[in-house]
Amino acid sequence: MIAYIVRRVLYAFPLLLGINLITFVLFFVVNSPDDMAKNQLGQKHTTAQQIEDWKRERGYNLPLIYNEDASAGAKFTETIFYQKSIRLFVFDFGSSDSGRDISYDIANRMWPSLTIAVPHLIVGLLITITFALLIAFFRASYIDYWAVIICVALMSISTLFYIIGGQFIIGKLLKVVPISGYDTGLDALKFLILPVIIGIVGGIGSGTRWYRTIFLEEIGKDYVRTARSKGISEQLVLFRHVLRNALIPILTGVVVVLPLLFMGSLLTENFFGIPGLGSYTIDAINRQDFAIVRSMVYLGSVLYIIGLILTDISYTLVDPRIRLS
Amino acid sequence: MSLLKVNHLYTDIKLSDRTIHAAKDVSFEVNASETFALVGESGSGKSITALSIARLLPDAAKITQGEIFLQGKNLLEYSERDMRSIRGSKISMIFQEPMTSLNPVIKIGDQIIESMIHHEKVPKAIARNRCLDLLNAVGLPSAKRNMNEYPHQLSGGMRQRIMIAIALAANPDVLIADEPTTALDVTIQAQVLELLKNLQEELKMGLVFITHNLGIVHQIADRVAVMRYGEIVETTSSETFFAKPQHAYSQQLLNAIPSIHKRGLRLSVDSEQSVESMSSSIEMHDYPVLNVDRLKVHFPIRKGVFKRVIGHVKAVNDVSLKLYPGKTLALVGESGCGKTTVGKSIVRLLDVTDGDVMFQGQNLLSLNSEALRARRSELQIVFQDPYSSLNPRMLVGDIIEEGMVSLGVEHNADQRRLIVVKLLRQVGLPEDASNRYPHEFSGGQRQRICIARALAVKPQVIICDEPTSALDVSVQAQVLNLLKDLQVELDMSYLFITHDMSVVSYLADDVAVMHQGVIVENGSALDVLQNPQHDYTKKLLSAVPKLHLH
Amino acid sequence: MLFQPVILITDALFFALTTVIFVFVMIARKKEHLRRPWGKVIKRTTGAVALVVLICYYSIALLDSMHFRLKLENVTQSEYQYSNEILSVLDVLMASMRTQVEKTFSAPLAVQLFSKEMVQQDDGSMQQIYPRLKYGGAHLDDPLSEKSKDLVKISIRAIVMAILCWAGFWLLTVWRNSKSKHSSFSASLQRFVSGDSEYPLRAIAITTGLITIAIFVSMFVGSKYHLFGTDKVGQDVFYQAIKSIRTGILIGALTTLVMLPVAITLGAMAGFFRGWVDDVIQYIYTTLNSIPHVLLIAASVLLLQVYMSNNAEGFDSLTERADLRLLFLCLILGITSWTGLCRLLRAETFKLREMEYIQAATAFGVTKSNILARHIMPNFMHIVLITVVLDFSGLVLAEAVLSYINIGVDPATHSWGNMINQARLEMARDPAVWWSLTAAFIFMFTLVLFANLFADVVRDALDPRISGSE
Repeated sequence: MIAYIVRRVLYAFPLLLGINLITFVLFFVVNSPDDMAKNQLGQKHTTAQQIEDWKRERGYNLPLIYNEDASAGAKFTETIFYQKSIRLFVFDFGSSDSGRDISYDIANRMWPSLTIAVPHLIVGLLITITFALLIAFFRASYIDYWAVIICVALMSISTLFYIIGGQFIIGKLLKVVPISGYDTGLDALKFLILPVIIGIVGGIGSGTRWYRTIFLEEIGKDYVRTARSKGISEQLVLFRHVLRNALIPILTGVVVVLPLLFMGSLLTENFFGIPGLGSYTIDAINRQDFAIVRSMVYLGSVLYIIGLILTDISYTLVDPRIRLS
Repeated sequence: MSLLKVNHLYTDIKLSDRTIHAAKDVSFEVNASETFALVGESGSGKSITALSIARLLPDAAKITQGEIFLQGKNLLEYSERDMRSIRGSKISMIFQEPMTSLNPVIKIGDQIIESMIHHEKVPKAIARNRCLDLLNAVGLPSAKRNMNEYPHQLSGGMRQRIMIAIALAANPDVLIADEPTTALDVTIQAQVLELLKNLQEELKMGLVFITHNLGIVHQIADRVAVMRYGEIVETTSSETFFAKPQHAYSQQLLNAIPSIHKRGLRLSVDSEQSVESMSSSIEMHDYPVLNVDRLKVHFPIRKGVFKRVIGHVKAVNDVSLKLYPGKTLALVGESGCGKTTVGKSIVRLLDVTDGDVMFQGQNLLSLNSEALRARRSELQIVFQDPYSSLNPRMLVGDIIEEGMVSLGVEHNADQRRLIVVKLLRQVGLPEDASNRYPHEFSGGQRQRICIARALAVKPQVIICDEPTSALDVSVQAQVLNLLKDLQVELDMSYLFITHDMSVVSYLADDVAVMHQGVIVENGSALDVLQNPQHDYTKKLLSAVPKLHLH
Repeated sequence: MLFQPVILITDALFFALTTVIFVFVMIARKKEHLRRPWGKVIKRTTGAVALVVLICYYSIALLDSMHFRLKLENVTQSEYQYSNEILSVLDVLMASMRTQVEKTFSAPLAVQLFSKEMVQQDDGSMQQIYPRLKYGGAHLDDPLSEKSKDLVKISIRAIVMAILCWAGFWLLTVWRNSKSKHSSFSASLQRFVSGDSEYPLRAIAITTGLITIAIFVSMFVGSKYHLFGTDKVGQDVFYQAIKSIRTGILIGALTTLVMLPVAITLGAMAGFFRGWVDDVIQYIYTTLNSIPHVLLIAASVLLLQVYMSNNAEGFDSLTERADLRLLFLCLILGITSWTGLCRLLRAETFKLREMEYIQAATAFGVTKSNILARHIMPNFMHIVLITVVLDFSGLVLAEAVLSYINIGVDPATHSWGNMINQARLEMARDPAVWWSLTAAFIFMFTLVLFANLFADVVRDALDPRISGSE
């Protein structure tokens, strides 16, 4: 078990290195710092001096991977690759192209992201599992048939429409809660309700349908017939036997995304003006702030890999059949 | 009044494009303390009948007509809710697959006490005590520990014992056992059968035993009903059935069973017909065509952070075999003994750790891939599962031709087509089979295609890896007949890998008995079968349900 | 020549894809094991109806992909000169909607602008009124009293013509059916009406009927009015929504075309060869998968933007530039989406290579590449098809979201995402300008819904686990 986890963690390093290389190539080789500078400073009336200044201020004036001018060890450290990419390994994100400390921003902005993402995940999961269980209970009936059609219809609507529609109906027509904004403490509640509800409603279709498939697959298995042959009620069969087995794939599917909750949701935060990491990323994309986008790519990847490791561990915890060696 | 009475039962299965009448006008009675066997080949409707009694049918199946009386009350008039009070407490079931029939994430003890608590409303502590007794009764070695274990920690035989414990937990009056031993090895099967028989006598239950195996029927049944195509063709007492089967189909079933007494005879498929000349046409040869010498196949076990090899599973450990021209050598053993590994290593489908495989003076294991390819046409293999051994996306003709093309046996396409036609005729398939896909054929026909495919490259030796174990007994008889005919006609040798003693006794010239990776006994078939030396061989032979027919 | 054909890169790929589909259909008709599951798809009412709707969308996208430049008039006969503007066949068919540009917003079927303007009256005084539209309902003298009557009249005319065309076509079909089956025409017609046929012909007929009516009504009404109103710069919203179909279909279809070869080759190789090949391929897709897809797309598109703005002179026209960006987006989406399929195929190959027919082939000395091509790939193709159909709707939805956060298609390209993006702020106006969103919603929802329904039916028919053992 310990050996397994150690091996999984060790395996994460080549992955991180690969991600680092990809971001390095994307951000510094495909597009040179000169291109970035020209783009940021505007096409016309930029002098070579201005570009040079812009690069120096941000540390982009170094060679890419090998510095001939520097001394001994600094030949490798005084480079963009070392300064900008290798340092990501220790979560040293540096400063954004507009000069702000990225680590500070991330630390501040992940809490609003979490306050939306966590209730969204938990409540959403409860609701979709309940719906899916209900549908599984009425399987092969008209309720099942129409429920699936409704689920397919719900998942055919773009998230954008859920958000715009929700804002329009609840925020603008009914005027129940403010359309967007954020506050700290308990006051945040009235700003959070709408995005959380919309997020959950938007996910019901695909979630319910997916869990229904898992439930139905379990219901078709032999042990369910054994349980029925004991004469216990259908509800007990579903709750005690089917649910326990179905929760294994469901839970492990959730564990993967747990770390990514920190990243927040790009769309929701942007629409509702939540100062989380999602809107941070979108703003950076719109401002073409490459330093932030690069940091977020790396952070997201690290969180995903953590999620993968957690998934493997959670399997061993919830499924007695799996003993990792 | 009989305990259980099924009256004119009709059950349909609705598929997307058609309806199957799985049970048609099925009627029988079971008395208390009686073992009633429902016999039939696959698809005869015996399992559906069993599930109909407990009303545990899958969603697609429906009972359309009939009555099922349990102690005088018609179960089909019960509501689903009332039916639940019957299941487990009055009627219990045991299913075929012990591997999948237990809930993998619930502890064994909890699965057993579930129905006690539900039906008898006993407190949990008492239920656990009773569960302990029950586990002891079904013969679990360390019942206390087993209660807190999960199903995957136990072997197949153990799990089937637990299934029995679950079924007996609430003291049912009728126990329906649906092929409870089919998935088990023959020695385990013998133990489970004995256990069932003893428990039945002790508890005075009515036992409905569903099986395809006439040996088992002979061993435990009081009365027998034979099913075919959803109908019961004959119901009679066990003695009469084996002494004097009435229905033609019953006779055919009995005659299709291979046994030592039928050596040299054709197994009856439709009518009795003897081929006396068969064994006499084979002369003795001194040199083996295939000589396996000290074969070892080990699989590494890896562990730790860097997956170091910390040991080996010795699947095959020092196996030597000699196969003589025109003869059949049977390699017998239970599942997991390594017999299939031997077969696959000989044709180099698996990597061999050590040993030699001498084939016509050449060591197959030391050949490079080019030289090996040149030899492959002389050594072929037929697999167990007729469903997975044919590519579902290829025409039968192409399947048979493939070996001829890749081994360069015949370069002319027209010639190849002629050979395919000839082969199809030889294995008893219609000519137009070559333009059809495998799914259009039944299991037995598919196995014929596999044999034709192997024959296409004109081999001298065919390794038959359990070629009939997935087939019904009457189909098995046809395939065995075909193999025997072909052997005489083409003078081939067979290495026949099997777990079935009756097939060995019917077919083999020589026998090698394999147990845990080694050969424990080796010799001519008649010697080994009639005068076994090794304990394991004796155990194996005594575990086979016997059919003493005149 | 009256026109000069222009083939954009995406057009070429789209035509290639269409050819591939066509060839596949031709092959599938001959091969029994391919025909059977697809026959099952079409025999299900949902499958047949969804397929008809999807074919409609696909045809519109195909019409919109046939590009050309028109010959300029008043140029001397001897030399040809062509317009700079690249048009498609669809543009010509919808010429009136494309060219009838109003001044600014107008509501659906309106005859006046949405907001009041100062207009000089005949008597010279200035007045705050809703001015009449230049094109929408311009043929009416007194719009207030005549409009609804006129709309009804046009609609009825359109519906009657639609039904005539439709009924003609289906009567002909039934007649040909009766000929080929040697039964009387009336008997065939009766069977057709009662829905008694192997394929759900009646449902297909009803669907095509509804679609024909929709097309006729929208063309008839659309030439005199703005069916879904106009946007800020007075462009016809209905025209925009129709033009967006090509983008949606292309994103869904080309992305698969890009990712399929990679996913199939790598997936099959990883599962078949195992060992270090498997390790390397697994490493590649786990690494790619670890990067959050939106961010990878964002980063790539940002870089493309920088590249394009720094090399603006390299592009002949706006259309070509937008086209290149669309292609690039498909590439990026392909790179992010091949990993899922690759993993599925790797697992399936793992399973397949243990099948006894693979071992039999090995025992026959069949080479590894032949085993891959003849025995493994045909047996996991159903997974490929299911994934392609399932992914399609997801990609259409993704396009909208990406365009909304400005990392999707070029802002000059017609797409539902761009429509939503532009119309979003208008919802805050009082009263809200809702028609752009509604139009985008209707067209996108229909496509995605039927794609999803179709995917369901395809999965049921093709997945051996679901369709039961045969």
